[in-house]
Amino acid sequence: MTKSPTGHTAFPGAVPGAAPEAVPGPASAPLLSVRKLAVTFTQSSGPDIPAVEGASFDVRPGETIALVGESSSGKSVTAMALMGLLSSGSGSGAGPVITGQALFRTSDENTVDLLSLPEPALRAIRGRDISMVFQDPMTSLNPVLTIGEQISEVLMTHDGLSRRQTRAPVISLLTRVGLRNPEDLISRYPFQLSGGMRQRVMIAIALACRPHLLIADEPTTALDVTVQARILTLLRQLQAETGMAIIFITHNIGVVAQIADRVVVMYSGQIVESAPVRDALDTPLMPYSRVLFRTVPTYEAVLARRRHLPTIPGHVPDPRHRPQGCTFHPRCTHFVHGPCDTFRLSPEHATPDHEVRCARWREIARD
Amino acid sequence: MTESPLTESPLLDVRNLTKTYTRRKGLFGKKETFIALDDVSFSVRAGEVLGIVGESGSGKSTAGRAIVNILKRTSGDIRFEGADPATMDKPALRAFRRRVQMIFQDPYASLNPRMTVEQLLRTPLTIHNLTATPEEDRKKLVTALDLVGLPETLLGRYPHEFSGGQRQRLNIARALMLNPALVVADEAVSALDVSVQAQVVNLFMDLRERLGIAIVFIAHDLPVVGVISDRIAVMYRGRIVELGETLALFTRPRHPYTAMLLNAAPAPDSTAISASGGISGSRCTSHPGISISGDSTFTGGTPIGSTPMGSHAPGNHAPHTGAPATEQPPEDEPADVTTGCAFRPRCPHAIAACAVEKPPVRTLPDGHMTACLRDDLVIDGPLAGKSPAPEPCYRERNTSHGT
Repeated sequence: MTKSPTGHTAFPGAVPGAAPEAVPGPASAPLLSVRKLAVTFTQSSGPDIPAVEGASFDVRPGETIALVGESSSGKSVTAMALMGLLSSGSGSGAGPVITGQALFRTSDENTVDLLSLPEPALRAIRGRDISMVFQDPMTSLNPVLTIGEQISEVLMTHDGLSRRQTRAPVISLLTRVGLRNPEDLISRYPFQLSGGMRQRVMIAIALACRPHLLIADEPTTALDVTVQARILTLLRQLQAETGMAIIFITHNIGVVAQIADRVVVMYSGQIVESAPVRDALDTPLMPYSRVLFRTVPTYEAVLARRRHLPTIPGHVPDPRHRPQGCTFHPRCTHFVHGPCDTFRLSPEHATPDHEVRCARWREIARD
Repeated sequence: MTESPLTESPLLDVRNLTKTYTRRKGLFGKKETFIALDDVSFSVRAGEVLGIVGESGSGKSTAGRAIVNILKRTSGDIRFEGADPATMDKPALRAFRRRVQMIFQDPYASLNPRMTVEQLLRTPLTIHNLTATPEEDRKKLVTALDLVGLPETLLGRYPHEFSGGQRQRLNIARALMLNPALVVADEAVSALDVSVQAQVVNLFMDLRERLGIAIVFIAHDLPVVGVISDRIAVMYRGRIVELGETLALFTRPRHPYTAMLLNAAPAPDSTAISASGGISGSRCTSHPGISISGDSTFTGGTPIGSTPMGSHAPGNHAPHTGAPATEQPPEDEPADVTTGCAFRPRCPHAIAACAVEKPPVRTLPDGHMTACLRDDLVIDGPLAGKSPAPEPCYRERNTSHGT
């Protein structure tokens, strides 16, 4: 791993005996292997909504995957499906149909399919082996429980500690995520905290059981830039200490450049490109990734002030009426009739670790 | 921007604008005063784009609301075309409301869902008694839609049929119906997807170019503000801490807070990460004067005299020697500061004098304004050493009419 090592003491709240030894490099076997994940929301009236169409990707231990895309690209649905948070629930027949496979190596070295695991088994994994941090720190904490109660709950559920026993690990968790006066904080309620502090509490909860995989869904989007910078630093630092893998969902390309090892670009329910971060940002192959990364204004763009920013014409298609063939073709400058608008394409390997879903990537790369 | 001579009076002139809120702590508690805007002064010339940036709670939205006079100010002076809306009589205020328009952040909440596009756009005309013959009105509606790149076939549609970007175009079209001289856009592109955001930013630039509208562009995204603004005001805790020409501000920020903001925005540039893989290490080494964390440099750095820092004394976390400054857990919230410079607890350049008095706003020879005592600081911004590109970095491929 390339992250800077830090000399901190062992992470509190660790599952006894489950502390990872040397952190395996990205070359090791995947921690999570998602194959052909598809999520379709069915409606009693109206057409089905294919939110995710056949997503496949691997997450290795200690690796950070950035899942990038605009709204309705399917990135959040992918995360929710992996966490088992999309169960049909109400039984009204309006639930999603989930197919595919998501093989995950649990901390006791079993391999399970997250998509077919029964709820009780999933519940044992959730919060212990896989944790999630949500976008909105304002609404994802329980407003009637103190900060201390909400963090200790995780430790009581998964480690079987008593409330009293959790006090010390809770305090050290709060310290670890950079909050001051943790003794005072545990008796506070979420409304007494700022957005940045709440997001740190969310991260503390997510990390309480030292998960092997953290899914962070736009964890910094609602925060100020300076707070965002601190949260990103914190995540990298905690990752360096614990060796956890992170799936980081974002639409902020700047954040991607800072935190990701690998970038997975989603568009309109499909993974259109997947590559190591520098390849993805410097030599993207899929036309969508190429323009997406250029639409983000940088400081260099400020030098050319008052000149138009590059844009992608049109907008993301309605999931109910996606175009034939490549879903990006109506907006694509490299579009040609035939290869682009006839069949849904499969991803191709441009290099062993660079996948792209485009009929014309070879010709485009030559330009 | 056409350089307007200094003698020409600005379109909007804001002097010593202050807004305070008081609240009682508990039922019998004593009154507390919260200062949302503290002695804010700036001006906007006709056709100029002034960016206002800052973190949440910095007062930038309050400033925007005060300008359009939907928020009653505590004290200070606002002059639009020479007159203060607070003292205007009804007809003058009506004219003011026509000349100054506001665009809000949330494109979903700011359009009445029960009105068609036609009704939405017609309402301003009705309110201001500007309706003419139906044909002429319709021509106005179509012109406004055309300006924002929407086809007239949408006139009978309802807001829910539109995407976020289209709705924001509608909001802009509605603001344009009354031929305003000034548009205040409060986080108008923040809620949009990146590709759509670029389209709407381009649209704002077009409108300024074609209609000569002045814009107060309030946002937290620095590169976006930089692309669109002629000058930028940086706000921190209710005060403008720096105000200057965009390029000057990005090249050589005069206030440490500006430098911190500029440096905190993550950039997708190739050089930022490859060297160290760490998050802020490489960026900070390229700007040695800048640190994004609060107490780290502070505890190890300049002592601040004997001034107590409130109950949250910095240094609760022992500094981890050996680790880069930004690697250690930073403070969560800087302690509230009632005396001196509000930025002092987070400032790597604070000196004892910073705790004594509120730094006055200094105007430098080039017109750049800063509220920092340290006139000896030389801080490189992200554009230091880079000259404006003679050729466009980007050539627009499409003027982007989002269907």
